[in-house]
Amino acid sequence: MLWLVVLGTSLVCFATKVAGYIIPARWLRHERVQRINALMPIVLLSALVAVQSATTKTHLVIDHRLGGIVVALGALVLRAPFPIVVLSAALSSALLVHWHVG
Amino acid sequence: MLSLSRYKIYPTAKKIVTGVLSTIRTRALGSLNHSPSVVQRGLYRWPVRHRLRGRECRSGAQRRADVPLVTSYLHWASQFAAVGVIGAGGGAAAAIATAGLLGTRNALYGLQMAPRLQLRGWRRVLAAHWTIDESTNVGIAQEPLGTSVVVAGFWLTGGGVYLFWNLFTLAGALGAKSIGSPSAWGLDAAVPAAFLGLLWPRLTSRSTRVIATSAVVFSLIATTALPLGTAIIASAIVAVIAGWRDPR
Repeated sequence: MLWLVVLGTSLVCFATKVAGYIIPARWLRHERVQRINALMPIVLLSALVAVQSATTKTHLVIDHRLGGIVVALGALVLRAPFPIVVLSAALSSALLVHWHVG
Repeated sequence: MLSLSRYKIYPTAKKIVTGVLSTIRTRALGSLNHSPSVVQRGLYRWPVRHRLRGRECRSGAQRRADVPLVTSYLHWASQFAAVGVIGAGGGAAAAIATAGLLGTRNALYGLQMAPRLQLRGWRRVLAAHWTIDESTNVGIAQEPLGTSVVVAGFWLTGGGVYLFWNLFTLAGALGAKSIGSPSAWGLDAAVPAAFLGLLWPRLTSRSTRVIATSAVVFSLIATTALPLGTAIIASAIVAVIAGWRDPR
């Protein structure tokens, strides 16, 4: 069963990636596709941030990770460079863990 | 407990690279309720099997241990989903479908990168393999600097993530016990913070901010309502709805 999952998933995922490269470029020139495609990273990144910082499996969770994200948000508002944003989130989240808050 | 000296599996640089490559995601798999011993076996057994090639020596446990190794080569984030579904008691079809759905964004990334990279042959296959959130986003973010910088950004990020993911997976698999929980190092907050850092420069208008907020709300509701691992890809519907009509 596990092998079926491994091979099936590998095949599907790699085929999906290759398909992205061999689909005719003219499909991209369609205005609606371009609009949706341009919004896709915004939507998926937003979803990734939310799901990875505020959920565990299928539950909503408020813990140290959310604290880290709030600090990262503050760093971004203060126009901090990318590495500072990531490090400040990691540091504050780790501190919350060590203080047994999150 | 397997030890390195017992098998002498890394006598050459080539085998170190092989071992590193073979451990992509073993740590991720370990964190998703795979037993540590299976993960550690996954780390060591593959090179061992190379030495024993042709001999019928694979026990059931070994066959299980091979799983992280094969998954490592062909999918990226989708592995989390597949293992998560299996770990939660899901079937093969559910696991493959979830992982496949999670991977569909890579086709959209490929669509965006293909005209910029203009590749043929094996380079195109490699580009497809390295087409992930990070490489695509970093690449496209360089657009104002010209196509050559976009191409450089894509390859450097794709290769960098590929290399360092493996290195840190190896470090994680070897040192997981001494490091303890990733939470203690803030690693579980660093990842979404990095995604937030990638997202931030894109929120240039009121409409993009509204769409991003909608996606956050949608994904959180979807997490509680949909099968494990499908919330993020389901959120793609927000982009489809928002982009369907011409705003002008």
